Amino acid sequence: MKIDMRVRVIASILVSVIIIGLIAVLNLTLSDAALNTNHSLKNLPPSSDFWFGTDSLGRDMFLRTIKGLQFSLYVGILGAFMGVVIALFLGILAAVGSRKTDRIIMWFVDMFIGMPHLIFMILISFTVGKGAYGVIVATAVTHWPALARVIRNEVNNIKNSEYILLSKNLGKSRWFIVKKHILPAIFPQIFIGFILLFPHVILHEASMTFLGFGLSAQQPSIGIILSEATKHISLGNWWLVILPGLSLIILVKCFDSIGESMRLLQNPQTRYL
Amino acid sequence: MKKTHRLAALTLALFCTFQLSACKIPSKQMPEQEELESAMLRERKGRSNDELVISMGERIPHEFDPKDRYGMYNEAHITHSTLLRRTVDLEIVGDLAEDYTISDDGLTWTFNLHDDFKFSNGETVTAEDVKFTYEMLIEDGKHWSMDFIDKIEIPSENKIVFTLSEPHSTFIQSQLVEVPIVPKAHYDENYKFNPIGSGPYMVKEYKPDEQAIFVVNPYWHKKEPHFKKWTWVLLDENTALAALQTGDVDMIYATPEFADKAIEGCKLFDIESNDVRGLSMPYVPKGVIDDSADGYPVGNDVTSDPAIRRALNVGIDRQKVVDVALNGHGKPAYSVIDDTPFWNPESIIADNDPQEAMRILDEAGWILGKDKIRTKNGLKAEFDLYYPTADQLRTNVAIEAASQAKALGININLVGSNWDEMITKSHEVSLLYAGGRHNPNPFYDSHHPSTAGRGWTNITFYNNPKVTDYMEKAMRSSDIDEANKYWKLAQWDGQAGASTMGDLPYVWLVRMNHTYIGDMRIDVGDQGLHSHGHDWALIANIDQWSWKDISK
Repeated sequence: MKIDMRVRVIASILVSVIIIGLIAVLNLTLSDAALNTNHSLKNLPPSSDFWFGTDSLGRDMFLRTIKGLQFSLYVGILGAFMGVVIALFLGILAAVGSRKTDRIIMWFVDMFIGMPHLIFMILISFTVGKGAYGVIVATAVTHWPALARVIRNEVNNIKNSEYILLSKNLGKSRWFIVKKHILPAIFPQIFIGFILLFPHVILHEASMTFLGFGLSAQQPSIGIILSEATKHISLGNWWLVILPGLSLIILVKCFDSIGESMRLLQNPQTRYL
Repeated sequence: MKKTHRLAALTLALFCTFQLSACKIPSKQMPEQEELESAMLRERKGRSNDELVISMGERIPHEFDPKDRYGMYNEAHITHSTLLRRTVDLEIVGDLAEDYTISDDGLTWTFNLHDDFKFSNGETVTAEDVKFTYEMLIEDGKHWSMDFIDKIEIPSENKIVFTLSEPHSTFIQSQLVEVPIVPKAHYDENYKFNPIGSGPYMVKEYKPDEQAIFVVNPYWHKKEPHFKKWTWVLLDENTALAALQTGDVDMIYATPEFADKAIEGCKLFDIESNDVRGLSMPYVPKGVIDDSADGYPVGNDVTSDPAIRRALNVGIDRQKVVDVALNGHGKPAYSVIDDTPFWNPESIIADNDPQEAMRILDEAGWILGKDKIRTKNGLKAEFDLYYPTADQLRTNVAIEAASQAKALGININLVGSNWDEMITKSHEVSLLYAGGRHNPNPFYDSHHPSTAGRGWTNITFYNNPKVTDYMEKAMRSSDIDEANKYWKLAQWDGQAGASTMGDLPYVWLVRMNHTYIGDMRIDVGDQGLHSHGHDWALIANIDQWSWKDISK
């Protein structure tokens, strides 16, 4: 039983990694040529030539979906990475700094969490100048608060443990303690936090582009594909909505299951279940 | 392992269901006979044959108030009268004015008015109402630009005299046939909620975002229209299509994506227009003009190069843009006034000639680089094209134009935007622009240097003294034929002009057909050539519509 559980967890990670890898590889190998409009290939349902059908301008939806997912991945990595960096910095600062710093940072965390996330991102994206750049910045700077709180609590937990007190008494600097003792201890949290931020960022990217706050119509993105499709939903071209939407969900689910599986593996209580 | 199998089977089953339902999508072309038979079955929720429900979009443009431009899309004659009116062949005849005379110098316009025109409240339309309407709009000054009118006098009952400060030939082609006459005694800020006019229909009820109900004006002086009551329900496109299918609505306006949808008992009304779409091309390089009237930056180094504009003009396959973005419901466009009496047909050029386009670019020094984008002295052949994201039609035209330009080595970056932002960028980037009226004003406004930087007019800062001269001569003509001659010369006189043959401050690409889907028993009368404004255009003559009973 125990082994079965581990095998399943590891298998789910593997499957997810393979799917994500497949998207990345397809992106590199497929050419952009079929993204051109073609009026003789309008609104074709899925077939062996066009797996996801074609849209009202005759573009290959499979290619558009894959290229759109690539943008999602790209925004996801950047957003999650930025989120982790900010969260790490503020989380550790809050925990090892003075009480005042802690209170200021926690106030910011509460403020960010309290604000409607999507509206906040739209605001930021407009302020920095819209387009892909706006979407990336907006998703990057708004996904840190929850993780920052986790890191701060984690650091607070271990900062009074004996080995750290000992290190302090030996006259080691704060930076040394953070680098040598705290960071390695919370690394698993950070990594899982990083992975679990992905789905959030990707879904938010899709919602922003869906609402039209962002990319140009040339740039493939799942949000744009879905918003185009909903404009003509009454025509019954189901493949324009369902297949790209499903692909997005699968991608998000992949990251989610990697993150969840790693959390299971890392947590001593569930590790050997 | 078993679980995975089940999952796979489920996915497969789901996929098959989708595939099956995909096959069930009805074929687009139904045979004529079948169409007629199904028409008999079309359920209209018990409405009688002299009652209609239509949906032409989510809001009513101009909302019955001339101050908000009511009348500019030819809609005035649904609910109001005008001094003169345009026939479907674009000839100008009297409406409220029984006859009119223009003095030889073109400055004094005298109108004798009918005395049997009545507002929907029973009051007679008088010269005072006409005077009030025009003076009110002159004073307002926002949309109708009538500052050439010096004074308006009423020498005797049913007679009105306009004195102009300078001749203005488009007066008769635009304001006189478009300005709806409002009652002096009942006009106020809330006019749009209780509009009183002297047209065949009156607005019985208007609730913004819900509906407007029109009934026959009991005091209408001519033949009573066939449809006694009609309702404009304000629905978005998807809901409207669904409502047409369920029989709640009889006529909807359909974007090209929707136009080919087959619905039982309904047919496509596909009507030619001069509603054009194209690219505006800022005409001056950066830094030449730094004091635009509206304060927005002016100039673009790439679009101001004639070679770029000419290359796009001949290199783009306009018919392909029509096929891709309009589903074939349209025609190539060459100017903002195609097919009107003041249009110069010489502006029809042979396009879809990439060889010629590349020759023009090579000759002008735009050399193809490694990234397949041309450069000239370090300047890349690329510019931004702004389009409103809410407008799918313009978005599609933009995508297609950019993709064709790329093949010529010109990189067009598409930027999704909205009108509020686009006006601030309008002099320095290309916009996916539109236009088309039944009068030469759009041509004058978009090419005359005096309007540069003032609203949606000469946004490219185009200025060719020769063209300006022709346009002013056309404007000052007291005779329409002479005016039309000068309008044509302004487009191309053999050496210069603003059209596709000449300076090209705009690269016009397509003229959309106005497409509507409606009950096939509706006869929409003689529609003529539609102008800009998909929503009002079809119903502008609703008083002449009738019902064809084909069930016998």
